[in-house]
Amino acid sequence: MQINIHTDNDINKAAGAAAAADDRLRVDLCGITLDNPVIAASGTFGYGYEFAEIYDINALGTFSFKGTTAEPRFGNPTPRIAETASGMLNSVGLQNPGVDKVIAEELPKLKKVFHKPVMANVSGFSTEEYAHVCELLDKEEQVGWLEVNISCPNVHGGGMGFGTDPAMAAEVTRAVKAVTTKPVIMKLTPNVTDIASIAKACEAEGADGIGLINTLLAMRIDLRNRRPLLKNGTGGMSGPAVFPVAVRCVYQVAAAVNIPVVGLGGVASAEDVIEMMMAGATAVQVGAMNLTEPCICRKIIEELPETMDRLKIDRLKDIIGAAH
Amino acid sequence: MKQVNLTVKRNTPVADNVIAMTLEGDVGAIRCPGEFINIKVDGGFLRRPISVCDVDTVSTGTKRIEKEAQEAFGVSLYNAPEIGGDEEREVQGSVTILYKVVGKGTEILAKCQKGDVLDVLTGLGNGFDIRNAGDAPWLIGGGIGSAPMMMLAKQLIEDGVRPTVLLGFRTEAEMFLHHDLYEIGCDVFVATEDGSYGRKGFVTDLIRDKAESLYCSYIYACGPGAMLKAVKGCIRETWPEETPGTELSLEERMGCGFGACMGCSIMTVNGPKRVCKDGPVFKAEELVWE
Repeated sequence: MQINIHTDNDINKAAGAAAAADDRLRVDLCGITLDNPVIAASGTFGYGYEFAEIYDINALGTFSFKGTTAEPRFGNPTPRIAETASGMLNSVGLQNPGVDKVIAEELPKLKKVFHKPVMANVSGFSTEEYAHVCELLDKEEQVGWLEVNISCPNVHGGGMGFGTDPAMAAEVTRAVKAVTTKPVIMKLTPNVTDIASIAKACEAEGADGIGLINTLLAMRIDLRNRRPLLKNGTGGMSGPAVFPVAVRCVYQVAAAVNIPVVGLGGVASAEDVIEMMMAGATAVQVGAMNLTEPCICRKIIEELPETMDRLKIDRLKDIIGAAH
Repeated sequence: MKQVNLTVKRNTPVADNVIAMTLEGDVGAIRCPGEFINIKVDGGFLRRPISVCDVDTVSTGTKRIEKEAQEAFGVSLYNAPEIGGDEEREVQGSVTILYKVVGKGTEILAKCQKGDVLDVLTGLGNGFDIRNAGDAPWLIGGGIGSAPMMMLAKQLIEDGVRPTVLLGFRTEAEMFLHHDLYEIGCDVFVATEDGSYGRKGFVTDLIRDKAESLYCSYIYACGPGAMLKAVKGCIRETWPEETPGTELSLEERMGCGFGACMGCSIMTVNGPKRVCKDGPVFKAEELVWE
């Protein structure tokens, strides 16, 4: 399947140079062209509107919207945010209005500010729920990819449970693929012994791509009251502190599968994007940094060309997996 | 929301453990009292959200922001367009915040020197709505939660209303803002927990006292969660028949401060709301206290 997001076929001479420059950043993710490999990660970008207040989010390759479940969810009790050196912990717990409201309200609103295919992030508590939500979002014209989160560490009896067992990861992949037509990217947790085996199980059931990593299971303790800082006890750690873990996981998975890998985890700069791609990522998501530097994605995209010049990289697509 | 670089003009203690910081630069995105700004601190990952205490523009004070909003968009400040609006509005001036040194972030802030430049997100949150005030509004602050009452009081006074201010502190040494609020024309009453100044007791005791002699058209309150719960209960008990409308400004641990991460959500009668984006100010009847 090919969705070309550049509809202007009559590129005049003046635009020619710009188009050639654009080609330096362009990548293909599961048959859909991205203007650049930078994707804002789910859970850090809402439905895009907050960021659209301060920059044109169409500069992004795309973004992955807030994790969506069948029913509305409030998530975990607060406090559900804690800080750590070069990063943060969250235990939000998949707060979202539910898939029906996302389709009825959020997507039409999003259409006004974002004109590219968006990545739909889906979560669930049963194989049937994943399949049901994916089937509904698959029918939405704005949705380019389905990103299936089998890796949320903040919900009990769901989420990460599916991503820590190859057989269960395979089952969810199979169920989702059976009811969808759009590319399915399985988003994995790093909280496992052998992440490559999970990725391979997803690939064997027809996954079109693998996204990784979700957050690392973590905890902070309030020294004054001697209790965990997060009301939920544990939370997921993200931010620049986890970047090397993510690079390692992306490298291992890229070596094990023949489908595109979306790398994420602590990405904070154009250099980080390039490092992730060299590890084997076709596209790169930016997560926690959006929360502290709201313009970080635009900044990274703007800095990519000069960083590439410095590193003698002609086109980004040429360096995917270069470190192997 | 607008990301701006602001220059530290002053960073001095005003009471025990309470510091007033004045930052100069483009404050055009700050629309109304009760909003907050989110400051990047060296060595911290998350920004530090702190309430706006006061804003001064180079020319004629806060009123000018409203006027400029009207000129720029042809609508009231409260209806200014959400998308793109802040980016386009630049107003030079200064913003003052008051903060308590409670942890790593505020310790770093306390070390800032005059002339330091800070990376700040401005124009955050949904503040107090002064259109609801009526002719005798009460402003209730507890501890550091008293900070936003300055800008609120100034705007009410500019509208020709004389606010009654009730402040609660632990002890006299921790008191601040009571003189400033008096000097701009508010009726100010203070309670301290240890009785070292004003009435001994809590701000709820002041509410009960003053309700006997003073009329109240509307209530704006900010302070710790436990105080706000007590204030809400006290208001209902004090005026069981015609309870004055009440807006409460909440505090919650935040991730982004602009509505993206859902870190600070609370449940309300109207479903989940983000303290940073839908609040921090909520109507009292919207809140469901656990």
